[in-house]
Amino acid sequence: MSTFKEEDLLFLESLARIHVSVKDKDRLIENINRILSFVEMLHEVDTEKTPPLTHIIKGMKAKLDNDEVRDVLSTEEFLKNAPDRIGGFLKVPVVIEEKDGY
Amino acid sequence: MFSLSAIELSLKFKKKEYSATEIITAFLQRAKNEPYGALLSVLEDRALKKAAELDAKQKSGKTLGLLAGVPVIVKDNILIQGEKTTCGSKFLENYRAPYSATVVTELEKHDAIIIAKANMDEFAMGSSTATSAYHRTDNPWNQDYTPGGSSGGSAAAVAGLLAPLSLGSDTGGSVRQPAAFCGIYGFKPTYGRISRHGLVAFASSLDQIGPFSRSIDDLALISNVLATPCNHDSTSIQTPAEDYLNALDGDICHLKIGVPREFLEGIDPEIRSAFEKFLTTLRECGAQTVDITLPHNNYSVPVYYILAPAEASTNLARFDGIRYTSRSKKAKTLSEVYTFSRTEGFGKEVTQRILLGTYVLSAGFQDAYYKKAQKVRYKICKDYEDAFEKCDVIAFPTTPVPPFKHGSITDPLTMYKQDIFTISANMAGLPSLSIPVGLTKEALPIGIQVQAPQMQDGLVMNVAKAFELKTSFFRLRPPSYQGNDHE
Repeated sequence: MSTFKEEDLLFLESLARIHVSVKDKDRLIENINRILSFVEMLHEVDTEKTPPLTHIIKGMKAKLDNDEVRDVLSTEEFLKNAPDRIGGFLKVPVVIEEKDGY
Repeated sequence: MFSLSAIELSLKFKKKEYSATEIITAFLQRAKNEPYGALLSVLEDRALKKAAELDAKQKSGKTLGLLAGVPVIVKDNILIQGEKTTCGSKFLENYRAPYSATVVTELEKHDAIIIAKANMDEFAMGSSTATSAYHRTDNPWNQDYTPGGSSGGSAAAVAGLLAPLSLGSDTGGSVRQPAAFCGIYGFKPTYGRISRHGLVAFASSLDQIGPFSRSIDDLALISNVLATPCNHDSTSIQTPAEDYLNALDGDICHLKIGVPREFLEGIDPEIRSAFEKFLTTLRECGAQTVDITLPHNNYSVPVYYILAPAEASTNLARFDGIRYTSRSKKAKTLSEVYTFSRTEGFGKEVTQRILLGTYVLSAGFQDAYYKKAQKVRYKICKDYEDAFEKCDVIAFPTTPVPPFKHGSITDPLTMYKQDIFTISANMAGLPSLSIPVGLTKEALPIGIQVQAPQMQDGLVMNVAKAFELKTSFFRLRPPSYQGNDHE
């Protein structure tokens, strides 16, 4: 497997929406590389005929709920934790700038 | 009263030797002055109100719950309506839970009183409670040492007699390892046996809430309260649980205990010798030991460090500065709200795991990492299936080494490898209990794990009961506790 480089980190930062500071960058790249080379040992295991495990409890299927409303959190209750709000809405910075003609 | 078990305390309350208010006032006082850094918040007003309500309930002659008057501490990733739930992160510093977790509702239905929230590694990512954004937690047995993690606060709280019972969460050993380090019981039930509704998700296919206690009877009692089907958790086991207290007859005659001998190579010699003594005691109780093998266990750590970060990167995507986390004051655009808030909010270990998880799930790498790990996870489960053909339960040490000193492990890989013996139970969804079995020469606790097939949680507890009847390790109290056991 190829080495994890600074440009890979940049790409991940954009996917995960986290910025890594210049001072933490080298350490993080080194750690990720060490972890990735450690997990390489999985390739010793022959899994050609092995299915991926997706459910742990044997015979258990994900339970489906009836399509009915229950235990609904009120808007007011929900918005108590909001960092910013206008009336009954979450407030966020302007997404589409106003321009001439719109 | 601090060294009483939950069963004893509840009995004293029911016999009116103590009122709930007296019990809770005493424990709150102790919690407010506790020396271990085990707690993140003390729920004084709420607990006193509940205690007064319980005293009124007793006066009115109503039937009292199984845990009536018992103070309980819960890890700070479990929601209690109206109270802070920080997950050990600055990102959730001001978050107040809008509803209660099912485990909280169940505890309160049975008249337990939650007195505090316990410190933890940030978002449960760590094995020493050192990644908490707030403060470190000390091991009550020796305050230079860590209590383990990620539920280190919950473990230190019970070991340090701040409450007879607490709750943690276990994704790769986060209940069992701190239980071993703190000399108490810590239980990870069968996956789905205890509802995860209201537990802040880390890696949903591995997470389980589990209790800590100082006696096996207390552990069975709280498990009776917690192990109930839940409509709010789609992975909750819908059949009712057995009566765990009833399962504790201590009879393990003819029980076959599987021992994976390969695990013992290279582990700490004192832990190895404690383990052999543990097996001898069980044989004296009439159990047989048989050698088994779990050949893929060595791969459990790499599998875990692919699957858990992958699931975490998805679960933690909800923390974005929009709905309920702190929002960066520097952000001017919507995109900056996301990026700046997450950058400021998450600590280093969490950031590292989110990025790692994002990487293993990203286009081109998913098959090589994520899918490969799921396949090896299948093999780890298959090993258990094969092993349980030859034995009823499996026993091995909870940790390869005794508790370590604060700050002594800084390398992430060395820290991750601490989980070598605990992860596989999460991989396979098995019940697994860490039992306190003694102390090292330096007076640090040692824990041994017993695991059983899924749904046989009571069997695991009964092995502990048999051991408890033959030994007195569970009665040991840390030297930092100066209280009077006979008050």
